[in-house]
Amino acid sequence: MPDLILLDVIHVTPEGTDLCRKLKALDSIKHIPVIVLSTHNKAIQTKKICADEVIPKPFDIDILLQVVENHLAA
Amino acid sequence: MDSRLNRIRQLEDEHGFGLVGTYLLDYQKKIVYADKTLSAMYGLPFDEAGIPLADFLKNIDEEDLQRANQLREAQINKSEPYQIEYRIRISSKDTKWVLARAKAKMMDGDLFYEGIVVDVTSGKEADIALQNQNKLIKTITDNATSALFLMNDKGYCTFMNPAAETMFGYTLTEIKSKPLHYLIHHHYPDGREYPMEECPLDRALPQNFEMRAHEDLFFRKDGTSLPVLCAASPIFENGIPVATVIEVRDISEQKKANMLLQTHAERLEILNSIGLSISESLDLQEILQKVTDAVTKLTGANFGAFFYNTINASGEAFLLYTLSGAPREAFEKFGTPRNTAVFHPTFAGDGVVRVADITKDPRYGKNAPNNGMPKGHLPVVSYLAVPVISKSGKVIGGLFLGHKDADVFTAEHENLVLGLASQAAIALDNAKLYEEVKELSLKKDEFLSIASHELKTPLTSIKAFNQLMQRTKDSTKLPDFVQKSAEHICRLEKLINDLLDVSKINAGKMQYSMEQFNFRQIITDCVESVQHLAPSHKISVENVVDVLYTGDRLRLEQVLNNFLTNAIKYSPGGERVLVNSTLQGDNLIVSVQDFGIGIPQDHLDKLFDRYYRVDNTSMRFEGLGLGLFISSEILKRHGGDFWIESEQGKGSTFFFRLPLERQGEAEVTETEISYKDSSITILYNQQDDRIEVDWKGFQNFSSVQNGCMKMLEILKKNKCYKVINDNRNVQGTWSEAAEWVGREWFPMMEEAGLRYFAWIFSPSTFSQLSAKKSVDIKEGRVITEFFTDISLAEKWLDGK
Repeated sequence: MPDLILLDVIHVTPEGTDLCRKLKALDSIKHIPVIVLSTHNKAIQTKKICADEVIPKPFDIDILLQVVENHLAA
Repeated sequence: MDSRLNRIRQLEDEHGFGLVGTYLLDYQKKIVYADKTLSAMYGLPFDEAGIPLADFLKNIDEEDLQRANQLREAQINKSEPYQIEYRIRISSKDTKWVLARAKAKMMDGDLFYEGIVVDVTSGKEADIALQNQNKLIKTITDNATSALFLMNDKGYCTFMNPAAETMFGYTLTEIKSKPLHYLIHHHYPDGREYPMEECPLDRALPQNFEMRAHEDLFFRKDGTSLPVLCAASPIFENGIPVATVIEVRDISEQKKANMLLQTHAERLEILNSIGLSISESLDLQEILQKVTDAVTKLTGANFGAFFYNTINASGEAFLLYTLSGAPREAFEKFGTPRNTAVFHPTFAGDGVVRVADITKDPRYGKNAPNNGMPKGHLPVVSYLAVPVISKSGKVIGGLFLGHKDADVFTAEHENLVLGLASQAAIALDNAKLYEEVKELSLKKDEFLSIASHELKTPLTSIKAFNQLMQRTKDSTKLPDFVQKSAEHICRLEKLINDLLDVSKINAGKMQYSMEQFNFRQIITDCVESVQHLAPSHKISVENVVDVLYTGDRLRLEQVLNNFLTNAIKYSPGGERVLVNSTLQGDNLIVSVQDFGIGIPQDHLDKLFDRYYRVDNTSMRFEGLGLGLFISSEILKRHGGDFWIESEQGKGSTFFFRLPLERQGEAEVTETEISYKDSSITILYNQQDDRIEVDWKGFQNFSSVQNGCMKMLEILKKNKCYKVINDNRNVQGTWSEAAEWVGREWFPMMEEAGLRYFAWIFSPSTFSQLSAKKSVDIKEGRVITEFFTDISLAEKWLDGK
């Protein structure tokens, strides 16, 4: 089981955005934090795709590492 | 004989009283020679020398005196014997009955009467009592309202009172002909024959039981029936059953009253329950259905309908909402009821229309094309229509009830429906308020969800940079972290400002402070400040006009800033941004052009869809950035609009238009077959029998509406059915009028005779989208076709 999932959403299509929601619907997986990376920040609403965090692209690598660390520590 | 009489005298003497007295009356001298008993009977002293007749007569009861004297004198005159019964008063309150008998006897040529007086008091009293009793019984039976029968042991009636005669229509002779059962009780209430052996009334006597309060159905001589309550009591003489007394009460009035009471109770219950359930409900459709069902039930209508008003701009069209007693299909094909003479008073709130026969009403059949009910309509003769008026006095709907028979609806029904209509109005008002609140609350939730997401994203970065600053050992990295987190803080601040603006717009509380300024100034100011923040792109001002404009300077700067930052954001490799401002007619047009990747067509369509409506206070900024939403709102408040031209791979141009104050009166020329003003030219082409329309320049809601109505006029006047609608000279967008054109204008044109409509596209994308939107939502059967080439359009129309 992974400790954390980084999900790069390239297209704002059902195929792209549904994955996160589907993962979060599985009892065995839903506790794993999902961080979504996408250029379509505005089109992706945290609530609707069920991500724990959305980081807009482009992002600073330090920020990504820090956010990952925050979630692993939690 | 004398010895026996003497014996009696002896006995009487011994007992001190006597029942038989004898006397001799000397009629000439009017003297009575009475014996002791007779004297005692009259309360007179015994006197052998005789007692004057007058003394005897004195004691006769006043009531009998005259009759007794007359009878006696008459008999004496004829020298006939007499026999008289009369009362003797023996005290102030007691009398005794006596019988006096005498016959004439001539003695020495004088007239004597010899007779006896017998005390008959005991027999007479019994006789009178019996007579009185019979009289009483007759009085009772004669005056009884119940029918009374006396039925012998064979089941034949031997007596019936007048009430029985009236109730059943038989005379006693008729009723004696057959056993009573077969005359008045021959069938069960359900119509089966009723054999006498099964009848409990006839079993009462042989089986010796009394029956009380037995409810049944009896029959009259004429065959009609009546509900009755009856009792049967057997009578025995010396232990032998002889007869049955049957008492019958007609309870049809009572039954009627009971039924009426029951109807009232049911109505009350319906009213009460409907009142409760609709005041509890907040669902519009549910309330309408319940009210419709209730009034239909209460009035006994064949069917009822509740039309809920949705008045369109032309003051017509009503929405069919709920029906009761008829399937939806029974009405659907007729569409909505029109504003005819029959329907008008209801929808205008003029009051109740209750007609015994609507087809004979003067208002009926006045409106073409159906002149009455359309073919296939459920038959309506009795008609009752009640307006439903809200607290504000606005007519929100109408309750309509129909029945196939005449004169079904009463004033009471009218009151019931009125009562329910007012209850319904309150419930509908509440439901409407609730729905508005619900919608607002949904919008709010949506807004919050978007806002929190928008806010969270920069905050995540700021938080992460802060953590990095705290733990880094490399102090040379610090300024970079500070700089980057400052950028995110700026973004956050802008977001919060935007969110505040959106919430102000949604609440209708955005304040505008108008002032006059040179528009060139804000263009140069904005370009300068955005250029400063975005050194990656070169922003060039190509053409800029000097124009004095009155508006909210800060808000318009916000619009321009938004357009400029968008241009930079969406053209990452673009390097250049061009800004132009021009005057076109009475409009100031500002454009910002970038050289990025452009906006895909489907994305443009979406953008258009979000902004085409006239009411634009909802959350149409979702996923598109708050900036464009706020900008569109600010422009709208200045009477302007925005549109976008984009080519994939080459870049996009964002335009906005602000109307300037009109310079002088617009020139208008108008004839029977043509119309021309600054934004439209309409001409009826007689040769090709078509109307040719050429729109010019920028359009807005009122210019589109004006031009369209002129077109309608000319189409009507010339009875034309083809239009060629040239938009090649149209600029910008007219999205705000798209809905009106599709939903209202096209149906009007269709009614006026339009069949074919050739539409030549404007070069402007948003104008094309406006036209497509109109056709998408168009109602009716007008055939439209889009063209880019006018000759193809003409060819298409020529073939029609």
